Amino acid sequence: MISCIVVFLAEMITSTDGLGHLLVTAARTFQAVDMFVPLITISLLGLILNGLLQGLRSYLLRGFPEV
Amino acid sequence: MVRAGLRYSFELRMNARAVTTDVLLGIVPIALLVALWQAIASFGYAPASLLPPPVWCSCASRSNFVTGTFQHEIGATLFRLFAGFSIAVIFGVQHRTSGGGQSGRQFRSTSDRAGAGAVAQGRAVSGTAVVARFRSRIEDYGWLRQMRCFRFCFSTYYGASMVGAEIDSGRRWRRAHLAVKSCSRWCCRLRVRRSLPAAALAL
Repeated sequence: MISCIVVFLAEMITSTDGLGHLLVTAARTFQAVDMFVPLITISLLGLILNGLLQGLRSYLLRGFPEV
Repeated sequence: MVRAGLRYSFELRMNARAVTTDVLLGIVPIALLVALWQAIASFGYAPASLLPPPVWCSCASRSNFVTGTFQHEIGATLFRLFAGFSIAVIFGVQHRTSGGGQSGRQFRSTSDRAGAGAVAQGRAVSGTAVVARFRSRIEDYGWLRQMRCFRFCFSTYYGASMVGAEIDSGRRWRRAHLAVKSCSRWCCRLRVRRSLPAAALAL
């Protein structure tokens, strides 16, 4: 999830496409609706990826406890 | 919610009520947040130019998905995310499983010794050692920006530090909790597929 956060931050700082770029572009042009759409999408992506990776982790590391 | 659903999916047939309760408890905070957002927008506590109602956002996202431009943006973001994570896993697993950062290792340059010092301070900073070793070969940090791979390397740095910390904690746990009999079993498994649990631990 660290990579997820870092990718969005990097897209906000220096990028020409991606969800972070959409968010920053909409915020700079004061378009609130267009700013919230990538924000919600990022949240949903994080939720889905977190669930998928946690499921994969619990499947691969059945004998290990939560670290 | 998704995590709870995946974690308890194998228990769904045995204890459906507990799983349903868990998933519903995961939905409740999100629903409350959306309801609060809608209430603030409806009662006029915030202007629509600053906080648009969630219905407007859902309509806008639907139109964006219909036009097809949004899929391109999501695809670009996901590609960067998984590319950075893959590089981080490869770097981190290779660094920790090859014994990098150990105190008895022979270093070639001043930057390598700096990386060894960072590792000696604590195992959680092994990502710093990876970057220090990488820097010693290139001798110039500015090439990252010039090659337009700064995003990937940034993800690699943080991901590698997470990988190193997780692998170390896994080793400590096995050393502390597993008996000799079960330890041999785990070691055999780890020799066969050593990188797989290490990569999964980084998740």
